[in-house]
Amino acid sequence: MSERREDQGRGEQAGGRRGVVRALRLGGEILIAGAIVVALWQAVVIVFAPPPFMLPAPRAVATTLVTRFGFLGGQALVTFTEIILGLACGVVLGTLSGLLVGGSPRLSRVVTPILVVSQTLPVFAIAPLLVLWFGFGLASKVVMATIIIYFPITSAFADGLRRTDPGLLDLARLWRAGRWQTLMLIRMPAALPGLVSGIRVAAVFAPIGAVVGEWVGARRGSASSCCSRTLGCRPTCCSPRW
Amino acid sequence: MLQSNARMQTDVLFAALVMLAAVTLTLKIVVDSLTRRLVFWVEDAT
Repeated sequence: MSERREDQGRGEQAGGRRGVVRALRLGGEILIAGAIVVALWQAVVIVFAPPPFMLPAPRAVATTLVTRFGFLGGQALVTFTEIILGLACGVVLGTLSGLLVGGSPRLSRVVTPILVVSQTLPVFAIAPLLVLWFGFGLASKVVMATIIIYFPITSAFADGLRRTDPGLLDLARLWRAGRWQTLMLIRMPAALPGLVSGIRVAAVFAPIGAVVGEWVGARRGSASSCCSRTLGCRPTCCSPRW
Repeated sequence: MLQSNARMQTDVLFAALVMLAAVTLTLKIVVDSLTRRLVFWVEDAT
């Protein structure tokens, strides 16, 4: 008994160490990837020698990054908030509608075309409208991010629900599980990997939504959209220095 | 970002892009590790 507990403890320790090793390796990989990008960038700057306003050297950008870090960091924090909120809303809404679409084939036949059409609608086209509807503040950006990630999550989850292993469904039928029980106990867990890959895609797309929202909000030139709402944006109305 | 683009302050634009990339990368890593815990039974290569 005590031996087993010791083993468990050792296992957890090893798990922790593995986590650290994994984090270190990930950090190393990111550093290498970043170094490659910066090296290519520097090579382009050296070879083509573009004027700084067309392509600044990595060094100039790094200097700006350091000297204006407070400003840029503050902007990034606002964007980060929008992304997180949009991601949360999109995941909740997408999961719910994925459940509806994947749970009922009849509903899916009606709703899927609507979803597809709504996805072909470019967000850029309705972005100005969204800003008008939801204001220049956080809300319009969150809505934009939500719209962008809603469809990938819905379709990933619905696909997962639809593609449950038929053997498992037979098993549920043998045990006389009701539709609800089959959904909750068999199809949901089976579809979770699909939902997860949808969420992973969404984590990459959510920032696009937030940035598109900020872009349009800033172009409107409203005073309310100046200082904090746009990443790296500060119209003259806020700062005489610019 | 838009303002610095319009004013040809490309260095600020790129700095903002770098910040955005950092934010997105962080988010991606956090989401990956959280979701890996959610579907712990799935063995994936990452």
